[in-house]
Amino acid sequence: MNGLFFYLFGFLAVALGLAAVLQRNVIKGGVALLGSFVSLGAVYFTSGAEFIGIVQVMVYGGAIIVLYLFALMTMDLEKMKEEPLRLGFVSAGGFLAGVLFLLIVYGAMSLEGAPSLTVSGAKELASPLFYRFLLPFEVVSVLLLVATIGAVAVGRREE
Amino acid sequence: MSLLKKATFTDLLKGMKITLKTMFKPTVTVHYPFEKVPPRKRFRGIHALKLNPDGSYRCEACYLCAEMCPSNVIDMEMTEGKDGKKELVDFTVDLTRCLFCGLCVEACPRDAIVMTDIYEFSQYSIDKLILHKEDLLELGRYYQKRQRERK
Amino acid sequence: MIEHFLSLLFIVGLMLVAVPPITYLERKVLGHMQQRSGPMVVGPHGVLQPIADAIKLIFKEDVIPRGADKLLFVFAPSFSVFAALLAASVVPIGFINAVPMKSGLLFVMAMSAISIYAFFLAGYSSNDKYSFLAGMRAAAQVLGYELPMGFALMAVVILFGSFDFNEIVKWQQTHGWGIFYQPIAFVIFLIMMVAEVCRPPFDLPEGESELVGGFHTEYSGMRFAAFFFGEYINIIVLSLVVSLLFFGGWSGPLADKHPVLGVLYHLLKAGFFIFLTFWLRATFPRYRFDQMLNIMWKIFLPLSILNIFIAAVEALFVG
Repeated sequence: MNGLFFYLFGFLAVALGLAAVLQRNVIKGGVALLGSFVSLGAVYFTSGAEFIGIVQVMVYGGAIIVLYLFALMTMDLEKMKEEPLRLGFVSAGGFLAGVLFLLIVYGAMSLEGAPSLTVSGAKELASPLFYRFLLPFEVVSVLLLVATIGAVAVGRREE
Repeated sequence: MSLLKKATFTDLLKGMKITLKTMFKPTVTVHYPFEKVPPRKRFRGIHALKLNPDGSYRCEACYLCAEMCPSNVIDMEMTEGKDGKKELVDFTVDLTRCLFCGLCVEACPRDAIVMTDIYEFSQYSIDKLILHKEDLLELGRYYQKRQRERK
Repeated sequence: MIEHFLSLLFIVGLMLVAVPPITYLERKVLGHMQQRSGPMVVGPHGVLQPIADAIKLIFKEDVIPRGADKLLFVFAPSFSVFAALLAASVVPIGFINAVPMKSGLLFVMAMSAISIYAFFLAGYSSNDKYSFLAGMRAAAQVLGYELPMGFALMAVVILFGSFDFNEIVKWQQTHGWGIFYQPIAFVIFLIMMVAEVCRPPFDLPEGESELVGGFHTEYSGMRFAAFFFGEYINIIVLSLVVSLLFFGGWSGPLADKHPVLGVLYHLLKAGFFIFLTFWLRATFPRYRFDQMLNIMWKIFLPLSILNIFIAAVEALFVG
């Protein structure tokens, strides 16, 4: 039963992700992306990682897509439809996606057997994050802080 | 001090106290189609034509009311009676145009046209809003009965 | 298994059945707070008004405006009910717990976070200026309230040490109600809850005086009703959550011996918060858009972060 839902939502996540890329209407693309993220959350659920699934839905579905759509709605959508596809952008994006895909496949190959599913709650997730992987965690948070300050500096109006 | 006031939501809570108190006060609603507020004594509702005590028309078809009317509401028709006097044939009041100013009542030298206290006269068809002599006389009977009751 | 299924049926049924009486009570309470008497005609004191409303809404013509994005236009109202019912399914009412979940509290937050898409997509797909503006407001509002609400809950969770509603109530049964430990979190959560369900004074996406009807300007019939179902179910769910987090949920005198009494306590406590939303609606005018964002980002967000430290200190001492 769980396996069935796992594959169902996995398929949905991929299909909606594709729809998000291929859809010419940006808002519909955003909605497809939302569906993809929520299905991904459901995939986490079916594989037992309840906490990560919920956080996936809350952060990506609840905050990030809202921000995307909010920004998109302030733009002129009709104009964006007419904009032609630029070969340079498409090829660069395709190249990056290909590299990412290979990396993920490589990472999956290096796994020995199925990963043990013990990260259902917050506690199981938090203790490795704050003890074993404290340094990478802190580095990432500093990186995010730098990005935030940079965004404020760029977006600030000159007095 | 004002900061403390804001932090404890003093003003907001004061407002909420008032609404809560109001909730237990009796309501002031008049449930209209079931309850009605009686109109004031001098209320100007739709028109009526009075009759003399002997049953003859009070209206002499002098046209003064029609002359006074700012919206051209009133029209009448008359003919020469047997004794050579003017006699009313029809008297129409077009309520679709009337603004209930009461000038016709002021103008009338015989106190024939009066205004009743009826304010509910909606109709489904527009031509029912044009009152004819019979309707006005009927209303006149209502008006006179009402006047007698008031005394 | 069968027990969970029955509980789920009970909770979903309760949510759907409770909405019409709540709309009636709301109109009554609002009326009396303004010295009016509210609905009076259909049935004694108008008690059958919701049924009359339902009949009217079911038989009303269903209009889809020309130029609307049909798919999203149809999708949006159903999404509103769907997200609200999903959130309702994990909230335990007394011993009735349909989907016991370790991270139940977070799940409710996630579902209420995505329920805002109903407003947003309705606003976008209607192809109408007013609806569009309402959708934008809904999106900005969710960005405003989501963070303080999350941080307020974070403080509570630090104190209770769990996301599980049952654990949270158990903690309160031994240590006392959460409001005595976390009054700031309670106030913040209450205000954010009102913003979350888009009720006055934070009803910006449906500000009638400025935006005609807001996001549901173009909706009619059952689709229109679906938005209200979603909204009221959200109110019920969040009222249940508030009473769970800060008022001990189903704990109360004699509740251990008679679990049914616990259900009653819980529903009564939630009922008070439902009443509170009516009360707020009758009392306060709508906030202006920039005022709303100001208080969310500049007052409640720092306050809620500060509150996390208070909670951490409390957690050290209380344990």
